[in-house]
Amino acid sequence: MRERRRFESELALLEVDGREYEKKQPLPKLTVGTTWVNKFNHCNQTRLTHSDDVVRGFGNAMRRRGHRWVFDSNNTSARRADWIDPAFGGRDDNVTKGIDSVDFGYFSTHGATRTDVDATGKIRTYFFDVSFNFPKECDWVSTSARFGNKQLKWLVMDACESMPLKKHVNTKVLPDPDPSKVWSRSFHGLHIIFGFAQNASDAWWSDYRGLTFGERAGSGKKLVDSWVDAAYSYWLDDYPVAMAAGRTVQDAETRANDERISSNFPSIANKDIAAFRTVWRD
Amino acid sequence: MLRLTFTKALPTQVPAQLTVYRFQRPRVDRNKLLQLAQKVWPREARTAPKFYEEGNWIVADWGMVNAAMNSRSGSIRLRHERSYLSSRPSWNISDARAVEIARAFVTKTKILGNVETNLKLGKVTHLRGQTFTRGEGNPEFILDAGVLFTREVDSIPVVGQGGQLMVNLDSTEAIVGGSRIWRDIAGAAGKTKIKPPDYAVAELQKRLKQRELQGNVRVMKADFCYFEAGTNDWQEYLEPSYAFVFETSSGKYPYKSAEVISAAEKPKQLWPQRKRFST
Repeated sequence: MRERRRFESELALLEVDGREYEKKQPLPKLTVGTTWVNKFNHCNQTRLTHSDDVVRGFGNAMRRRGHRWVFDSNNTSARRADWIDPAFGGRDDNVTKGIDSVDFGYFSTHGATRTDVDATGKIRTYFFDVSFNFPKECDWVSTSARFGNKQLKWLVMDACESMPLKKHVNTKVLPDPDPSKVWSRSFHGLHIIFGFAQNASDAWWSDYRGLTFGERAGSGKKLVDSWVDAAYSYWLDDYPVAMAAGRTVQDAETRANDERISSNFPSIANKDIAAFRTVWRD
Repeated sequence: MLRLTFTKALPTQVPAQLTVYRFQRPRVDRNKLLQLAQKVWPREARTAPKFYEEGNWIVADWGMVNAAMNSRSGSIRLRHERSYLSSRPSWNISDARAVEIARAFVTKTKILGNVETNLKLGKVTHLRGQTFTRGEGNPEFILDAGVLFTREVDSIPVVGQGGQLMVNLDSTEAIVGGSRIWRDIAGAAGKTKIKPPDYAVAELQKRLKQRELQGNVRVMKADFCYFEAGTNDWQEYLEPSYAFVFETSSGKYPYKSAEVISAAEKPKQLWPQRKRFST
């Protein structure tokens, strides 16, 4: 009787989530890379106090689930070149600390979405800007990234405005932003990016969101669900957002809804991406 | 030069003294998890679950549904793994209806024991989705309602990552998840005299200076409250506090953080505790 019930339970799984990719797979052993910056003495920004906690919580949670935490770049060792694609003069494929040399990345620092305007003041592009702490190498911008053309599949940008939504940002500065405008050029195999619609708290109240996300993501739970649950905060007004790329609208929806680290969704070249699906809680 | 501007001010009058409460020691009760899941999802949770640890959580997993309890705080998490996100449901549930369903859920499951009369509606949140094709956004849609209740003790609001309960329902009005960070009170642990709001503002300024913040700091939220910490924090006492959420952008980037300052004359538990991970 118990066997029959178990069969029914698994059958239900297949009936509801019955796509090819949803068949149960053994958990893969991922490589993980983390980067955080708290001190900005070389770049003259407000000091952060909990980037280390959110990032190391994630790294520790992943390692405890059998994944390999390859690097943890920080205040002094984090360099923007490790986030720039070789096509733009960087070395994000550096196997010791390049972000595109690992499967799962987590970055916590200062961030903001910016615009690039033409001579008439019309916005040409939206892009994301973060701060490192290395003399003359303070800013990194998302237009220098080609995430996933080597290895990266999932990336958390745990920073303010990393996934801007119009109703949560200052529209005098960012008139019509959305995460696809900011990140579409950076998806070169990346499956999902995770971030925040507006400011992200740097506080001990919420500094375990990396740990919570790593515990669930690293053990095979649905990735988008896991991020939205781990990072939402009512009191702090933290609004988590995730965005998945797809070859079609249906493909993007399926990945946003169902992808786990065990799902075996193939990576998609930038030219083959036809749709992005965002999910958020607010 | 640091300048504080308050979007929301603290109350000018606070009680002269308040009760300090001791929380029950959290105890992971597997039977409670089973009973809870079986009340919420009787069909999916009818068999024996697989139990496993997930960090500080003990998870009872039936495949399609799971229920978990946190050993540090006693928090509870309920999840239905159904792919309720996979369609674009039309959403016809008013916030009032969502609150009604969530309240019925609390009564039916007794997820808070018998204290649901303390429930205060915090917010009806929504899980939303939107698809972008060729740079154009299609209309956004709602995937669930997360009805968030907050807590009051002795008519004082409980503030923090704790003291809240969220009930999630989908477009068919089915319960698809929930979370409870709501520590059980064991009893009173004495009375304490309350420090005045002026003290809290002065202390906040001191702490912000220690953080080396400069320029205009906007205090977005300022509460006189009982403070309850989040899921992964050990907390023994519920004590009167002042809680602040503030933002600034003194550099190129925005910044948001929070401070909690004890309002008790002799606090039993100080926040923040030590860093979770050493640098």
